[in-house]
Amino acid sequence: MRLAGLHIDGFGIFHNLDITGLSPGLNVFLGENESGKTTLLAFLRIILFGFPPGQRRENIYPPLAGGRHGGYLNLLSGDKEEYVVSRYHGSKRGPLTVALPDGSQGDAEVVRQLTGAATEDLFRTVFAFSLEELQRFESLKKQEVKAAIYSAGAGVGKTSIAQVEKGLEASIGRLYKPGGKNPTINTLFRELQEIDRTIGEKVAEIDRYDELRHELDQVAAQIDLMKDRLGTKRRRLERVKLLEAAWEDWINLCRVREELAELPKIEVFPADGISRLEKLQEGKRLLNNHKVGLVHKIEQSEKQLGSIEVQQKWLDAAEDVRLLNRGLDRFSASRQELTELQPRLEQEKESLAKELNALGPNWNLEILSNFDASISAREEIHRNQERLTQVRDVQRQAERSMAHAKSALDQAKARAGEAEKAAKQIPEPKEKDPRVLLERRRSLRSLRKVILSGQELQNDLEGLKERQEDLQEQEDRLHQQLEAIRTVPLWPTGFAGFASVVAGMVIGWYWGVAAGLTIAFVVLLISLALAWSTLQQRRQQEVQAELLMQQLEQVLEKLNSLNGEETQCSEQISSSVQEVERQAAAIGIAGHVTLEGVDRAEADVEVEQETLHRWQPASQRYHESKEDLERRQKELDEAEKNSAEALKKFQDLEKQWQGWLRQAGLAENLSPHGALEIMERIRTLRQQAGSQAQLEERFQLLEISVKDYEKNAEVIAEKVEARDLLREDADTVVYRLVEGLERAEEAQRKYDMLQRQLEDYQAEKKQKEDELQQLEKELENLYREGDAEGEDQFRQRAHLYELRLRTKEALERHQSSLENLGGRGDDQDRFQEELQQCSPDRLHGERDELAEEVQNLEKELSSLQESHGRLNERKEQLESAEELSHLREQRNVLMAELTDAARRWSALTMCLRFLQKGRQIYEKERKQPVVKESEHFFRAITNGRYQTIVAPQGEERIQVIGANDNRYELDMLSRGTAEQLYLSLRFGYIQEFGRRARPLPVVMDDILVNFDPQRVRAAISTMLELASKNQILFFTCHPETVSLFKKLDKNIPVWELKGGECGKA
Amino acid sequence: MKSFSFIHTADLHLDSPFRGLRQVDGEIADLLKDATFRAFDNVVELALKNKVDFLLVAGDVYDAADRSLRAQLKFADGLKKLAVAGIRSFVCHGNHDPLDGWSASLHWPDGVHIFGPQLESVSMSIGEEEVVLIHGISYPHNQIDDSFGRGFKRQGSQPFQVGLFHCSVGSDPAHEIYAPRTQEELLTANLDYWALGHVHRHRVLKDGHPFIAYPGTTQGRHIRETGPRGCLLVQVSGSGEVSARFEPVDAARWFSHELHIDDLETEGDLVEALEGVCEETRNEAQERPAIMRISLRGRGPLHSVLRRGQVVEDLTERLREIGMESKPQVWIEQILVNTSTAIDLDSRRQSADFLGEVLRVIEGFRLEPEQLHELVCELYQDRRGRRFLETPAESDLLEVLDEVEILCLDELVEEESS
Repeated sequence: MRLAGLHIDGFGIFHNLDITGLSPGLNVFLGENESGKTTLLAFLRIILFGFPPGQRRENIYPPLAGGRHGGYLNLLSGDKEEYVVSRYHGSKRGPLTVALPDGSQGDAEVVRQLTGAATEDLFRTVFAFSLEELQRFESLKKQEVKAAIYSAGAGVGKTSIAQVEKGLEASIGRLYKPGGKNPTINTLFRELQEIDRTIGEKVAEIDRYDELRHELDQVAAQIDLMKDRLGTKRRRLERVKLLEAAWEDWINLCRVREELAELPKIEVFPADGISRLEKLQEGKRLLNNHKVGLVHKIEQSEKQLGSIEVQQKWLDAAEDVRLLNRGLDRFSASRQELTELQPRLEQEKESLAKELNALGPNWNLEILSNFDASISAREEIHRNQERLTQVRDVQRQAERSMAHAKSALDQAKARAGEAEKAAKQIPEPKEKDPRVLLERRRSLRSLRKVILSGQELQNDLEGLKERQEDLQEQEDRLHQQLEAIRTVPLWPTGFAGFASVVAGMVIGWYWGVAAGLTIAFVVLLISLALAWSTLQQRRQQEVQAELLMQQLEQVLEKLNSLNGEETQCSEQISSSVQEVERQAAAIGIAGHVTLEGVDRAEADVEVEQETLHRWQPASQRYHESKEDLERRQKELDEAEKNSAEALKKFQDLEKQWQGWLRQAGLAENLSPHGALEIMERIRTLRQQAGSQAQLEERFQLLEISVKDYEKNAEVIAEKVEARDLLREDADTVVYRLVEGLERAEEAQRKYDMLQRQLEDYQAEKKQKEDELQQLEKELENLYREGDAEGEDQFRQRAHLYELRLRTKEALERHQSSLENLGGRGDDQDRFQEELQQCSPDRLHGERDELAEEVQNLEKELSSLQESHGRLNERKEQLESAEELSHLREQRNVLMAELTDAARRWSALTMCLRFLQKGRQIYEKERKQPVVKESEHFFRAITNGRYQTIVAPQGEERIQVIGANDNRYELDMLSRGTAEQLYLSLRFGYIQEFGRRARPLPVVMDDILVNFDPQRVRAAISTMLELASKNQILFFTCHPETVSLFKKLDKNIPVWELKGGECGKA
Repeated sequence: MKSFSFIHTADLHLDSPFRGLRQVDGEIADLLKDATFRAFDNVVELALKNKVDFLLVAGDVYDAADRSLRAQLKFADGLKKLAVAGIRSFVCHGNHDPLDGWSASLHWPDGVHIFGPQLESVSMSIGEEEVVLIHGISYPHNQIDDSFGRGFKRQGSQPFQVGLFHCSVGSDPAHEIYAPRTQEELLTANLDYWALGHVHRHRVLKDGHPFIAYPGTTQGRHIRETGPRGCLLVQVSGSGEVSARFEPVDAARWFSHELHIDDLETEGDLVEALEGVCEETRNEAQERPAIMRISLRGRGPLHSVLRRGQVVEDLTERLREIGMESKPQVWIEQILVNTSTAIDLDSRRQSADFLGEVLRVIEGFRLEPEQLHELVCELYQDRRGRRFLETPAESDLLEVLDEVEILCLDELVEEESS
């Protein structure tokens, strides 16, 4: 595969640059620093293998001069077919497009085939490299150098197999190391050992299970035995404690029993005897005191009663006085109202008389009350009012119509006069029909057209005559030309021929025959030419004459047709004259008709039309105004008639109304409205009269009531014998009467109260006396109940009875305490028997002894129970044994992890072994040809200084052997020589690669800088050798290097890179 | 003859932990711990519910080596429950719980018969009638020779005779051979039912007369014991006709699924597919928790994604979270990545480059797998390696070899779409 050309756009300093016509062999590119050499190198790599991924942080040469970031390569495969591989910056390292030679689209696989499946790294390290890549070998250790060489030939994408192996070794080491501590598998082994140990311990415990159960049974039996013994001792201890507790009660019981036996037997005694006795005695004392107090009160009350005087007369008249007093307010009000009513009544009477007088001289209350002011009478008035209003409206309307008609008639008269005047100002036209005038005007226009077309025909005739004359002139001219052509001569030609012969003879004679013949020949040639020219002219003239003849014939033809047209035109003119005459006669124009005549006639007609146009509307208006005048007159007559009728009707209605007023007793001149007002007035007056009557009635009533009241007061005063009051006015009398009554009543009330009090005291005194008797009886009964004859004996017996009761209670209390401790019935008997035989000292001794025994037994039992608990716990633990299950589970988890890790370790270990094995084979089988090829180049570049490259089998290093058979390690070589070795190894590999795949172009960027001039030359020679199979692009910034290339092969194309442009130098 | 029914179970392996299971979290961890017990409880429940006449246990009740007292006590508790309900139990011991193995001195309830080291026959009445005769023998130790247990033979007048025996019939690579028998040998005993134990997968060796069957283990305990596990509920008609129905009793179920990545484009597609597998498993598990291993196979663009750092761990974690939230729960035991790149291995193997060379080396080992042992002997021959690791079988190593091939590709070939 080789590069035919490329297109680079938007790539570093390059923008839209095409490089074409690259040589299939060596191409040298010369450019200064920053002229884009490295950019071009990167461009080639990127187009073929893609933009470096972001993580590589490599320069992707973004566009500096604009353009789309990318481009394409024109690649020629071995069979000269052109592929276009293009790539522009974008996702997935820049999308790739491949155009196949047949124009169809290919994919990355095509590129892979074109590049012989070389990987990007291989291409970068071996095929397209700069000094930096060349030197990279130098900075690496021997192992890496070797591996990189294999990597270059291994078809592997990763940087180096050594790195892969290193990674694998690390992973394996992390999983397992014999004798290691931390790797996963070693850790798992340790954990498993640990867990197995724990499991072993647990299993040993399980093995003791049966033993444990036996032990547990024995302890349980011991516990049961111990519990029995403890129970017995505890029960005795409890009994002793009870006896001790009962001792005091037991002693007291014995004492109380003796006391009770000594007391006299009073079995029955009234309950609460002493308190009852004291209560009765206290009651007696209180009643006696109360009785003495009452006797004193009775005496006092009787004395007070005797001092009070009762006035019976006043009390008898009490109801009358109260009635009188209640009526006092009304009386005062009535008297006040009377005083106010009197002047008002008089005023009312006077006002009514005045109002009646206003209605009419004879009007009095009777007439007023008899007047018909009913609703029907009012309705009648309303009806009359409406009728009168309607008729009055009709009459007024008629009058208005009449006035309107009159005014309209006056206006019509004025308009008629004006129209007549206007009509008379315009003269009456001769012709009054506008259509006649219009028709006449149309005829005149037609006549004008006929005259004009006649004139045009006349002009045409004259034109025809002129053309006739022209054509005749043309005919004559053509005849003359024809004559001229037919007379052109031929003689000049003959003369020339002759002259040439003569001239030839003369010159021949003078200068020699040869010259003469020559001149003669020349002259003859001229004359022949002349003759030929004349003949040609003659032929042209003939052709011209023929053309003229044709023209002449055409002219004659046209002349003939013009003659025809002329005749036709003359005929048309004569018929046109006749038509004019006919139409003029029709219009009424006599004599010879001219255009001026027609114009005049048209002007006349226009004047007539104008006159008619003005006259017609004026005449029309005059007639219309006359008609209007007549119509207005008729309307006026009609209005006058209507008005008179309406007036008559109104007067009739007025008479009817006056009749109705007379009948009602009202003035005849009243209008219905006035009548209604009078009706309203009558209604008001009637109300006024009514209210006056009511007032009078009220006045009389009040007068009677006042007098009655005064009389009544006098009668009552006499009744109570208070005659001194008769002189006073009614108000004072009533006041005094009320006062006297109140005094009498007060005295009576006091008397009654004292009387009731006295009665109450006497009743109470009687009651207390009864109660005293009752108490005495009760006291007697109490003594009897207590079997005593008096208070003292009663009190003594009561004391004895109380003592006996208390002793009995104590007995019962002690008895109950003992029962609580020692039970009832037989148990109690046994208990007391035991007490009978005990002593407190003995009991204390026994209790202490038993307590100690119980304590000891309890301790023993507790210890047994603890040991039982422990054993049982262990048994239960073993039985549940979840721990062991859990441990086994954990062990299984670890085992699973171990299996996984072991499998992973196996896989990685195998992988490493296979890589190593593969590498060994590869070294053996593949490396040798590469080294061999490399040796050849290395020898050439170093001009035979170094002969051999050695890669010892099984050892991962490279040595070179010099001409002196000395072996040198890489680090013993100078920088330049090492670079030369690396270059040779590359060239070796390139040769070897080319043998099994398509040869690829090789791109080198200024790699010779560290070479001495001699070796530069040698290196260039090897490049030329390599270029026979691989296309080489060599970039340099050194013109002297270019000179060296040129010196070795001057045909090497040199390309100059400058300012983003590239051209052949 | 009166009709009757019984339950045939075997290989309970009570309290034997799950194998190959990495750390399990959450509720399911407790459940798995007790799974063998729960499964046995289910057997007892089944017997009580169906009011069967007796229970046959054909060996390997527990692993004697485990020394699980809990297992023995729980077993005794279960039999006690049955005895209370009037259901008799007949138990023989197998290679995992031989008579000389450790066992606690437990009091067996009435109605439980444990067969001794000599072949013996126990009669069983149904109602008043002596109908069944059960012949059985327990392993005295686990070093028995091939002749152990010979002599099962019809005897007596009981119309239905059963052989209760823990043995290997035919060959099964998944199980060690103990007391090997051929089907013909069993037929010559002229019994009516062979209640066998030892093989963990339920198998009916002969459906007819006699009826010969392994009920399988009651609870799957590792990834090779996938699918339903249970016991046989056997009905015997008046005419002696046997009909046995497999009843799943497992408390949790193992599943192994393969998922091909060929048609999957993105990580999202993969997650969706995995979730689909989980859902499918949940349905298959019939209301019980499931433990599932997913093997990713095939080749496709996802291969490189799966090979990246934590991707598989993250996926496993995510699926576990989802599985734990669902009912019944699904625990992802492991996601195995056995996918390969889209690279055509055959053509790469032909190539002259280094990768080709390596692939050819691998191919060489594939043809001579016995040499693989040598590569890994360092670990397996280690003192502790010998103790804790089983020497891998050739088949295992060949599996690893496939993985290694993919590993080499991953290591040597740069990802194509980085």
